[in-house]
Amino acid sequence: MKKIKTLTFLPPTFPSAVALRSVLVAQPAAKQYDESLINFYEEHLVGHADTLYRFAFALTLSLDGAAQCVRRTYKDVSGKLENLHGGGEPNVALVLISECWKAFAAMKGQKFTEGQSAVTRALKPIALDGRAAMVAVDVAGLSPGEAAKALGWSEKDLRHKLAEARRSLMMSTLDV
Amino acid sequence: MAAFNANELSEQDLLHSFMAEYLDGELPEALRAKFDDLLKKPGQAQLPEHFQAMRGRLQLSLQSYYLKEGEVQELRSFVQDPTVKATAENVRIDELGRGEIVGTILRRLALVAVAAGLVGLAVWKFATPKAATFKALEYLGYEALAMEEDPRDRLDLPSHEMKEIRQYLTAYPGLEFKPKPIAKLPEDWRPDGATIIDYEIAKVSVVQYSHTGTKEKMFHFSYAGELSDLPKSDPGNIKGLVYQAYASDELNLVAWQQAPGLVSILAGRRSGLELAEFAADGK
Repeated sequence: MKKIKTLTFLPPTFPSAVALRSVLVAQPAAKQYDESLINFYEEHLVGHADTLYRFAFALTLSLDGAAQCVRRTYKDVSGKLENLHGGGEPNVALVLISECWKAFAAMKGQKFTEGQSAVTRALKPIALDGRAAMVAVDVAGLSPGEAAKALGWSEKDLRHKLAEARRSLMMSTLDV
Repeated sequence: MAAFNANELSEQDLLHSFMAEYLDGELPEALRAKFDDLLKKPGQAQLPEHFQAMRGRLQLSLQSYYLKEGEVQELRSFVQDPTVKATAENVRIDELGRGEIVGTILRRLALVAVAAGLVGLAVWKFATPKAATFKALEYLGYEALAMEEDPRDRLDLPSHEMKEIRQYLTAYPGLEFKPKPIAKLPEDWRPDGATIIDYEIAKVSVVQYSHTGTKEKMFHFSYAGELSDLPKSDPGNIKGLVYQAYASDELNLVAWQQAPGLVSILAGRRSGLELAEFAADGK
């Protein structure tokens, strides 16, 4: 008698074969990067991850929101690696701030649990654009011109927002 | 995008947005005078110091915000599968490990080779055949001179009796050859006795002869070896005795193959031919 394979019964919650196939088809094939791109990504881009996390925190005022924003930013950037790496020596901080700003915009409507730290309390009264301008310049180290480019504003607008944010910070009771 | 003109900013925006450049000494020259004037206004003198302090506090506060290692790993995973990376690292580690093992083996082999070489050198130096390392002419020439200076004390068996001398030599323990002393001597020559010189690498029997009138000495050395081991010399033949003659400033020596594996050397003040004749007549 010919042996047959043992049948496996899927649990009720397991998606049907048709649904499973659609899930599998929907998954894009993993992109393959050569070693130079991987090194560029790890050394130059991931190397700025903490700075970007602080910028994202200033936008979301939330640790979880910042982490999500950073994750989304790097996912987007990883899809543009060839262009980034092939275009000479990019200003990585500028690129990441710009991408993070776009990623945050794309996350519009998401609510995050805000923290209660002193820096959160100091930043919260400042408008979102002001926080973005101030942290891009005073924490991430971009020049006002670079920050304007990253955030898509004129330098005059950026300086106006930057000045408002700094005034607000200087009126806060932030202490360390 | 239109070129930025700082004069379009309000005084307060100019003051606050250029504060960092002012503190860093990078304020554009065109703004310097206006900036100084603004700082001279009431209540603004402490602005730079206050800004600097608050900016520092902001930077310090945000320094404590950083991604956890797992979150950074997740970012890395966007370009390289962690399992692929781990595999690649393992392969690299394996390669390094293999390289290390090969290096260790090569180092050990090199050490073994060096040790074997040293052992071989030692064997070559100390364990080669006795005849090859026993420098008979040099050693026995020296012995002949020494015995000539001290003819009695260097003889283990002082005796003028050839029979006694033969017995002594035959009975000597551990002697691996049987020496044959020159027995037939001219009338004016007689034996003085015999001794065995132990060089560790070779034992040498010696029979000393002396002229009864002049006290001139001759020494008959015998040892296990081959005539061919001695330095090359034109061979002589007298009365069937094939010999090789050697000369130094003080002594002459003749050597012959007394028996297979047994070499004899006669050393004395006479010429090589005379020594050879003495030996040939005494067989």
